[in-house]
Order: sequence, then C-alpha cells, then structure tokens
Amino acid sequence: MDWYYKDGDSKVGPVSDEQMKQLASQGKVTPETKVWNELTSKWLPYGEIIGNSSTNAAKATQPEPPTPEKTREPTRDPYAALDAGNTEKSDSSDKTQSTREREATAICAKCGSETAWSRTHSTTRGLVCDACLGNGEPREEPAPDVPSGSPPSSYQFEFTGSGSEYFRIWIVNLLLSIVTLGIYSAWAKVRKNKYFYQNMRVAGSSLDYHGNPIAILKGRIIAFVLVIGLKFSPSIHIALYFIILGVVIAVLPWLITRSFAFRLHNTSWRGIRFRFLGTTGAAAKVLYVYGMLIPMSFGLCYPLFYQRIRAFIYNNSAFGKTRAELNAGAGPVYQIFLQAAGLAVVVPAIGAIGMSSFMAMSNSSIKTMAMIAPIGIFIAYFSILMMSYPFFQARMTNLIWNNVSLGPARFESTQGVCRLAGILIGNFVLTLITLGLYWPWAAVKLSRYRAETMALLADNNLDMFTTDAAADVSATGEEISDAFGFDVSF
Amino acid sequence: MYHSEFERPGITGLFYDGINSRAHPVFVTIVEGQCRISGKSIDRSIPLAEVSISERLEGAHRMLRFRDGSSCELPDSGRLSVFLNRAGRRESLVQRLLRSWRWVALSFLLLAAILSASYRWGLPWAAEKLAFHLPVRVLSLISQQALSSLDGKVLQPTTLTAERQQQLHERLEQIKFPSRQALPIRVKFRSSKMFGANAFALPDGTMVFIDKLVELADNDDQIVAVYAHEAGHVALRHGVRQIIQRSVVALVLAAYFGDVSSLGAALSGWLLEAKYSRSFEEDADRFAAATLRQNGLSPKLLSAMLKKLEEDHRKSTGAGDKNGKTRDYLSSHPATEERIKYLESF
Repeated sequence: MDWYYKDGDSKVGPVSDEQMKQLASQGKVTPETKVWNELTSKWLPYGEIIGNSSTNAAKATQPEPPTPEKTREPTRDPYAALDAGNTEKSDSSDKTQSTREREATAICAKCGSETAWSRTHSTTRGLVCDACLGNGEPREEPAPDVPSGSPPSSYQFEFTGSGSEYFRIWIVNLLLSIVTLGIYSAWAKVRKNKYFYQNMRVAGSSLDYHGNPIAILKGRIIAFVLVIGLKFSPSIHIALYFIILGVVIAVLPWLITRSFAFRLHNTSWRGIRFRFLGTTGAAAKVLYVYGMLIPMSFGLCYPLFYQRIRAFIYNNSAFGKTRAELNAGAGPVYQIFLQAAGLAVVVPAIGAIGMSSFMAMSNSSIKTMAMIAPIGIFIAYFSILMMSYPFFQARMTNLIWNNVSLGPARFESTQGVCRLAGILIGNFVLTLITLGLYWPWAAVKLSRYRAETMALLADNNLDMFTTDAAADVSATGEEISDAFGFDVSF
Repeated sequence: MYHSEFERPGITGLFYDGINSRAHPVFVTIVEGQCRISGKSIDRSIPLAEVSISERLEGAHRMLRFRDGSSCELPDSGRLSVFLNRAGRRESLVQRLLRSWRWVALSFLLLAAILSASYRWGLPWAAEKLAFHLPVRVLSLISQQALSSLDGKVLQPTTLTAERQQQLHERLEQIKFPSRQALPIRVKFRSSKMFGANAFALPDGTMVFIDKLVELADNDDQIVAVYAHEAGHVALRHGVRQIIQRSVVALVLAAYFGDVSSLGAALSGWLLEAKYSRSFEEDADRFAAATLRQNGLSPKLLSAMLKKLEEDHRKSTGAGDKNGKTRDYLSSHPATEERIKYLESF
C-alpha cells in the first residue's frame, strides 16, 4: 500500500509499508504526523491510524507478530480477550465460513499458542494460557467479561471524563443556548447528560442516555411559563398567584413521577433501559401526607419525609424487569440528620461564643459588633458548607446505596466525609475565584469521586437482567421539576 | 497478515441484544455501507444509515444503536472514527467545533462579547422597548397590587393636615413636564415608621411622599425637585424596566451560577443590578433638571435636597437604626456625590 505523509507543509510519498515503518522507527514519522493512504481518504495523524494509543505507535508498526494481541494495550484487557476470541474468524476474509458451532479460542499473549477460552487467564499483558501463567506473569484482577475461573464479585465504577473536554462542551453549550435565546438548551442538556453517562462505566460497560431534545424543549417551555407565572403573578394580582401556585402543587406528584420515569427510561446499561414504576397516586400520598407532617411537627418529621421520598424513588426504580429495593429505615436517616444538624449548630455556636467573649474583653462598641455580624454569618455559612453539608452528603449516599439492592446485585458506597469536604470546598472556592469558569472541572471531579467510591456487587454474573417493554415517557415532568429546583437526583 | 492495526478489518466491542444484559464479544466491521457484527453466535449486517452512532469523546466508549433495540459498545473510539470517515459519515458541525480548541476559545470570546454587550446595551434596550409597549392596564394592576400590599403594613395614613396636603397638590399640579405626553401622576401622602424621609413612584404614575420628607424639606421648591425626579421615573417607565432587567439578570445568573452556589448568583446579581439602578437615577436626575428649568426653577434644588437626605440618613444610622431592613431614599439612590456634582453644574 502506498503512503503519503506531511513533512512540515510539504507532502512526501509515495512510500511503501516497509519504508513507513522505518520512518516511524527513526522518528521521522511521529504519531502526530499527518498521513494519507488509500484507505484513510483524508489526512489523519499516524497514531490515530495505527491504533488509539499514540505512545504505542512505533511498537505497533513492528513487523506483524503471529499474534496481533501482543501489541494491544494491556489496559484494554477485556477487549483484548474478546478480540482474541474472534480474531481467527473475523480476520479470515472468507466470511461465509461460519464458526458459530466451534468453541471460541484465544491466542496466548506469551507463547502464541491457540487455547480454548476456558483455559485462558487475564493478565496485565493480555490473555495467557495455562502453561504460561506459571512463568512469572503477574496475575491481574479477573476482567468482568472474560469467562475465567471464578467470577469476580465487586465491580468498581469508573468515570473517564476530563475537565478540559467537558469545559469545551460546556462553553459551546452556553454560547449556543444564549445565541438561540435558550432553545438550544434542550440539546445542550442532552449533550451534557450523554457526556456524564457515557463516561460512567461499570463492569466494562458504560451507561448511556437516550433523552430526546424535542421532548426536553417542550418540558422547558411549560416550566418556563409556570415559573414566569409564579414570579410575576404576585405583582399583578395576588389571587392569580395563588391559583398558579395551587395548580403547581396539585400537579407536583405527577411532575415528579413523570420526571423520574423520563430520566430512568432514558438511561440504559448494556442495552437494557432503567424504568420507573411509581404512580402519581403513590407520589401524592408521600408528598401530601408526609409533607403535611413537617409543619405540624415543627420540622421534626422532615427526616421521615426524606426517607419516604427516597424509599418511593428507589423501590419504584427498576433495571429492565428487575426492581430495586431500599432497605434503609427511618432510624439511621434520623441519626444522620441529627449529627449533621449538630455540626451545623455547634460549630457556629462555638464561634459565636468565642467572638462575643472576645468582644466583651475588648469592650467593643455596637458599631464594631455590627461590622462583625456579617462576618459571623459568613463563618456560619462556610462551616455548614465545610462540615455539615459534606457530612450529610457522604453519610446519606453511603447509607442509601449500601442498602439498595437490584435483584441479586448490591452496591457499595464508601464516600469519606473529609475527602468529599475537600472536593466540595475546593470546587466552591475555585469556581468563585474564576467567576464560574472552573465549574466544568468541578463537576468532573465530583463525578470521578462518586465513581471511585461506588462499586457494584454481584455474586453471580451480570447477564441475568432482562428488559421489559415500556412506552415512551415525556420530558415535561423532569423539566418542570428541574425548574422548581426539586431534588430529583437518582 | 496485516501491516498495521488499522488494516485489520474489525473493531472489537460488546454487543447487547436489548433483551438481556449479557455482553457478547464481537467484531464490528464497516464495509460498503454495511455495519457487520460478528461474534460467537451473532452474525448480522445492518445498513450503516440505520445505525445511530454516539459522538466521539476522549475517554468514553462509542455506542452504536440499532433500530431493533440492540446496540454495540466500542472502546476504540479513534479507530471507529477512521472507519466512519472512510465510509463517508461526517461528524456534525458542533462536534467538529468541540474538537478544536481554537473554535472553543473563539466561542468563549464570542460568549463574553455577547454577554457584556447584551448587559450593556441589549437588555436595557429590549426592556425599554417592552416597557413602552406594555398596556397601561398592566401597569396600573402592578401598581395597585404593590400599593395595597404596602398600605396598612408599612405605610400608614398621613399625619399632614388636609390644608397642607391641598397646598402641596396645587403646587405640584402646576409643574409642566418636558415630555410630549401628559403624565398621569397622582400624588399620595403616607406616614411610615419603616421608611425614613422618602418618596417613590409606581409604574402607573402613583407617587407616594412619606411625611418625613415633606417635613425635612426647607421649602416647597425642594419638594417640587423630588417630584420632578420621581416623575422622571414614571415618564421613562423605570419601574417596569427595572423589573424586566432584574428578572432577566436573575434568570441568566441562575442558569450560569445556580448549579454552583446561590450565594455567588445573589452577590453577582446585586453587583450587576447596581449599575442599572444608577443609570436610572442619572436619567431621572436629567429629567428633573430639565423639568425644573422649564418651570423656572434651579436644578440645584434637587442637589440641595439630596444633601439634606444624606445628612438625615447619616443621623438616623448613627443613632443606631434598629430596623436593619430600612429602605430609605439613599440606599436605592447610589453615588449621591456624583449626582450632586452633576446637578450643580447647571
């Protein structure tokens, strides 16, 4: 095959495959060099053509060894295995020859011999056969999709997004949303969700998002009208405001169920969609009955309300046909609420006592007291931000996810209060100093930490989930709930 | 035997049938407009045109979605792009925009330019246009609602004698305005414990004078100066314009900052709105100066009144105003010194 490559601005070529390899090994052609051959049809970086990893570029162009698996990146192990299992069949140009009946085989990355799937082992260098495993190959954690000896039981979540990449998406989303007077924001939301879902991976497979921008746009328009109505109606007529408020409260249970249904229905993993089975009636019961208890009990029932909402959400969520279940009762929820409230009250109180005793000693006037008061409010705000809120978030996330089951599968959440506090404070401060520009990095950092501290536990394999047909769900609920700031995070 | 990774015809991936969560290891090839999936017990060809393909992201797997609900997940995004390019499938404009830092930097600059231009000119212009197109009925609805929510709570009936009120009404009615249209101004007197010496105008032309302001003024001409200033707000529809501008600023800030911190949104909103209210005050001063001169009075009357109000304000806060929420004339009328200077230049 003839190759051309760019040396500065000038085109060089044609050169043969052999010459190309030589040029690459001499460093004249780097992975960044733009090259062209009859198959690329356009100028592409050399590294992109010969493989995803540019650092392995030179290596990959070495004369082809009998096993192409040798040059694959070790980190792609599960896929190297899949590759190996199909290599001999797919590589053969005679595609009509079916190999369906035969047992799949893999090629040992060490000795090159053909071995049955069941007799291979995943290592950091790729699949190796029984015989080579003893020869000092470091054994790797068994990869999820490789049918090796004993199936693993814990699958770590992984977030692969990057701040700089999300920054670009964010800024372009913002620009297009403003230029189109907000219409593009529905598309922006889909792009953002896709970014965060597709970069979230567990057991070798990513989440995916399927939301339809038009459905989201419709929801946004309705939400916008309602918000504008709520905002401006009090200045036109107070009765109008109460009518709109009444309508919003009346449709709230419906909005919430629709919103969860839309969000979950449009989330999938391994080709299976999530679902939300909660009914408007059940949502109304939780919202109105337990919601009414809050003012009647002077807020003491809020943790109960919180727990009921969470139970409603999780117990009505399903992955395919498999329904989730939340086994956390109100007791531990109360405990976390009390501890968080303690942190929120005690720390500023100690600060206030310290400050007032300082002022008593220095005989400060009322004027300096008035000057210090706003500082005190800021200190209280930051102590809640630094301690109480991260404490609540980390403990509650752990409590809930450690008690959620999805059929035979469970989850393990190990968020640390101090680590989460560090991330949240860092994000807050940097976002404020950069006037918001740091926000994409902050969002990615938080997602990465959430993934790092989350694992899926499944004793047997993950192949048993099946789908259930569900109708399309409108986006209105989610959009309106978003606009009213109701927490609908799953 | 293949000479490079690229020449190997397939991309490894996982196939999901959409019914079961089992991941099937497969090879995906894209040849002659057909996407072919082949694996242990799978061998199917799907026209590429019927495949929906997720966008290319740095670290994420690519998703191929087929019409029957099945899908394929491919880890090697770069190689898929090569295959797709070869098959003539182009990325969308937005995707190409996102790939290039140069375009992103340009969008950033464009965004900054659009935002500051719409803040500086766009929004005030649009708010002005909209304010003058609002039906008078809406204005009076807004104003009546506002006054009825203040009356009895913050505002109490005036303590001025009927005679004094009549005298002031007669004096103020004689004032001619430079605007072409007649202004539907109706003056009302109220007393208030919460407000200090103050006067304000509602969008429909209702103007409220707090008794303390009337008492503070050395002479009726100074009251006329305040009246002219407030009439400026009415004539230029500042009330509605402020509502519109404030709402849009809050909306944009909530969209931008809301995810991060409501404190940040509130702080920057307050800073941004201050500029708008300052320019409204300047416009109203200009209107007042023109009105005063047309009626044979000096614009310095207003600056004298401003000085008095500032003095009064300092006295009341110095004495330890218990009401932290006191909204007096000056807090909503910033940069008094500059305004005095402007008025004295006449």
